[in-house]
Amino acid sequence: MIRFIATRLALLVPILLAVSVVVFVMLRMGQGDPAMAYLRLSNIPPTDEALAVAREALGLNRPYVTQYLDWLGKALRGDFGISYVTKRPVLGELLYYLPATLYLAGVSLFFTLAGSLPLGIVAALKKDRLPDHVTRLFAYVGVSMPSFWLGFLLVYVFSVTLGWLPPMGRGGPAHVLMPAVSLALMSLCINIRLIRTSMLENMDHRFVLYARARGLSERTVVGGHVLRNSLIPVVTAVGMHLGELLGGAVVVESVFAWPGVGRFAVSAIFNRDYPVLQCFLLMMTAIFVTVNLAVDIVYAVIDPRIRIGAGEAG
Amino acid sequence: MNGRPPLLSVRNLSVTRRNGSEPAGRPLVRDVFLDVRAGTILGLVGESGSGKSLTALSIMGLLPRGLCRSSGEISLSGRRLDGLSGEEMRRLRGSGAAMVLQNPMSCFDPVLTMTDHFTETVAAHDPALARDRDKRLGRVRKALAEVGFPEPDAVLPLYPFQMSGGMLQRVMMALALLFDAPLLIADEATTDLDVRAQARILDLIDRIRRTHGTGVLCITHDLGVVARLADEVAVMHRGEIVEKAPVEAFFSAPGHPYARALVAAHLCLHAHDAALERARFQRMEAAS
Amino acid sequence: MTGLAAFLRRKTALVALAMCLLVTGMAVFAPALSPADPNATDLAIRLENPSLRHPLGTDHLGRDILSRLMYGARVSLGSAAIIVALVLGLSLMVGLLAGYAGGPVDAALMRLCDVFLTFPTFILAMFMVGILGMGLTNVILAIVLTHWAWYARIIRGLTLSLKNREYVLAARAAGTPPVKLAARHILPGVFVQLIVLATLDIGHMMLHVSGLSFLGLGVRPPTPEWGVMINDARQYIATRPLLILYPGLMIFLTVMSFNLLGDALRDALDPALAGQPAESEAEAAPSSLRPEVGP
Repeated sequence: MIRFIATRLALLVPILLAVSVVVFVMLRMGQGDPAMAYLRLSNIPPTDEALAVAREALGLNRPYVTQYLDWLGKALRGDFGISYVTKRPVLGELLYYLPATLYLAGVSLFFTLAGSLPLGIVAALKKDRLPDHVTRLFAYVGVSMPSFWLGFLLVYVFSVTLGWLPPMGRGGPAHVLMPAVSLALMSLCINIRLIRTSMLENMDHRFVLYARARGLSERTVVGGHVLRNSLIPVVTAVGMHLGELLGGAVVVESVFAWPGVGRFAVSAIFNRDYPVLQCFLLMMTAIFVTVNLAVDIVYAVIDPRIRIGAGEAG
Repeated sequence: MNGRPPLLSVRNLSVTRRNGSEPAGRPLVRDVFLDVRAGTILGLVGESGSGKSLTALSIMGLLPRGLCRSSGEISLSGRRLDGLSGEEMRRLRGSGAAMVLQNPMSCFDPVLTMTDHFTETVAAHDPALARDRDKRLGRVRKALAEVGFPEPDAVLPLYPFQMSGGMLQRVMMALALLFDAPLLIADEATTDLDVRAQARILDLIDRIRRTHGTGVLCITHDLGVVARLADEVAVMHRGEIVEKAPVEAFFSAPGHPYARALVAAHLCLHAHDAALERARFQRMEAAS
Repeated sequence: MTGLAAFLRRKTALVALAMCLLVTGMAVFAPALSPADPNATDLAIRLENPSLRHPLGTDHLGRDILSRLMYGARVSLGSAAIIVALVLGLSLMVGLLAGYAGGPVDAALMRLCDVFLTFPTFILAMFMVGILGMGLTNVILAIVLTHWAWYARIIRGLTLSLKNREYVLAARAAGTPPVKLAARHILPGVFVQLIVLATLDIGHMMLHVSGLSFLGLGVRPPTPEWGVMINDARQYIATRPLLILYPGLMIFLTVMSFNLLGDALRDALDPALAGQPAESEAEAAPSSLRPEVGP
């Protein structure tokens, strides 16, 4: 297993390098003229002279490879530049807003798992009966619903009409409830279907027959063998969910004025605050990559076929 | 044979598809009757789809959803099985009657070790024994030694994917021996194995029969297995028993046309081999 | 039971098909069907209740909501369709090439896919819109560029499995040139699965497009689009909640219909995949997980 982890880590390095190159290329491609953007946002009239000075200052006259390496070096040291808008270091700004987003995503992930496990299991156990039909209908509906629309519906019902929950901002548990539900619904429904399918597949598996043939109780067979084997793919799906939650958080943060990185990044887009944007992308990608790696490691640990490695037949 | 009542007695067993809770459609297994006496082996032969496995599953109460036993009187050691509750049947499985299945790799839980499989089987029938680690391990080691693992502790921590089909099949036999079940049902137990592993399993079944007095219902499509092991033969064709005879009579003078066709086909395939074997042995004897 | 007959036999499939056709029809025939010009503002009649002239009322600028919904279908559904077509086209080329050519070409293309799959898709799309500039074209481009890699992988896998089937080997032995081989023998096998994937993903793409538009990154005003309409209406949530309800309901119903249609198609056309939601393919290889599904 150590080898497995080491291999994955080793593969990660070239991919991350490639990622950084792609980001850099896209950055340069899209910005048009970074010097112009900088001047505009600093409220300096873009005369030719000012442009030339800005270009020199920003190091835009050097060959691209040098610029890339310089950029990469700075990035590895945590220096992503200064925000064109706030004039403060970009990484610091994003790190200031990040905890709120992580909190929101974390609560949503919790809702996803806590909600999908019982529903998916029940749907599988009561296949083709009422609980299954209801759950599947719910999953279908949930997967088709735009999270921002759901957010507003919840605000209308619980804030405007009933006045039970605050419609925006961050605060206590009451504040995070609606945003987290809006964000979690899609992942929740995907996970319900995943668990249901996984359990149904495993219930048809021959080890179930053999377990019964040995006299094991249904509880042990289903709650032990079937469940344990069914949850393995669910673990690997957590990485996918997190990616979706990070992306969806941007939208939900807008609906609920949640002070997270997503909202900050959206305003950066409007302001063409490129340093913020590139740091935002790299930061979220780094989080996504790390979580996926952690998920892969957990998967390797819980599945002995990977942990020990096939091919040791006696 | 002796005058004692048979260990397993099956009469009028029928299996049909189930529609809701009612039987529906033509029976897949019809009016099956068979007896297995203690210390003897009944070979149940037939081609795929003839209903042999369904018969075994029905006896054990393990029919898949969608099928049901529409009729049948089943007695094991004088006790009627067909009226038992789910829980009573469960207690019987593994301790009163044990099964060994084909394709052993798919029968084990891929994420559990052999130890885990043994522990849970013990726990299902004797929780007190399961809790007593030393006694439990002692019983497990004894069973493993009996099926041909001189070092049981080498096998116990292994996962199914780390073992060969032959090894897993022997572990299945060990699991069947844990509670000294008087009836053993072997459903195509040798089908996926290579020739040497097959021979080992067949020898093992024979030895268990002799030492434990186990009655064995051996289901197979391979008449070679029947010739090697069985005392009596029953032939199934399209869900019905069409022939029942002691093994010598079966091979020398099969009655039913289908049985005759089976024997003829088998001899066709194997007479050639038998002649070659004889010639080779003679050469070996002459050389040594 | 497979095939068109099976498909038509299922009620949900028929309902879904009807709904999809309805929305598509609405998008295509919007100019003929809509009661008013969707962009005609009239502040005198802003935020009006439903009436004969304006069956669903007017928005905050006095524009007819029903007309805006209908024209909005053109943008929302139309851009989703364009995205799906472009993604499939691009990923088909890459996937077929990688699967068929094998060797270093395959390896290089798959590494490229890996790089793109490393990013969370919605965030990458945001970034691209951020640096390319806002607007519908860039939104479409960004979503295409962030999603092609996942499809390319699948198509490559399919191509690999088909490449070694007997009939392909026979055709190769007969000397069929590679392009004709790909077109005649491999493409049809891949095509069925593609149709299913495409239908299943129109809804997902639509959620992305409307999500980005909701954030203000997509269409420029006054173009009607369902996501933008929700954003415009958010300040009136207390007084005119229906303004938020209608566009969201359209998104929801359209996405759900296409999802149902896609599922039904899959069950009918490809029994091998039946019973598994598309998302479960993600579990097959932990390191190439589909990054996310949508906001």
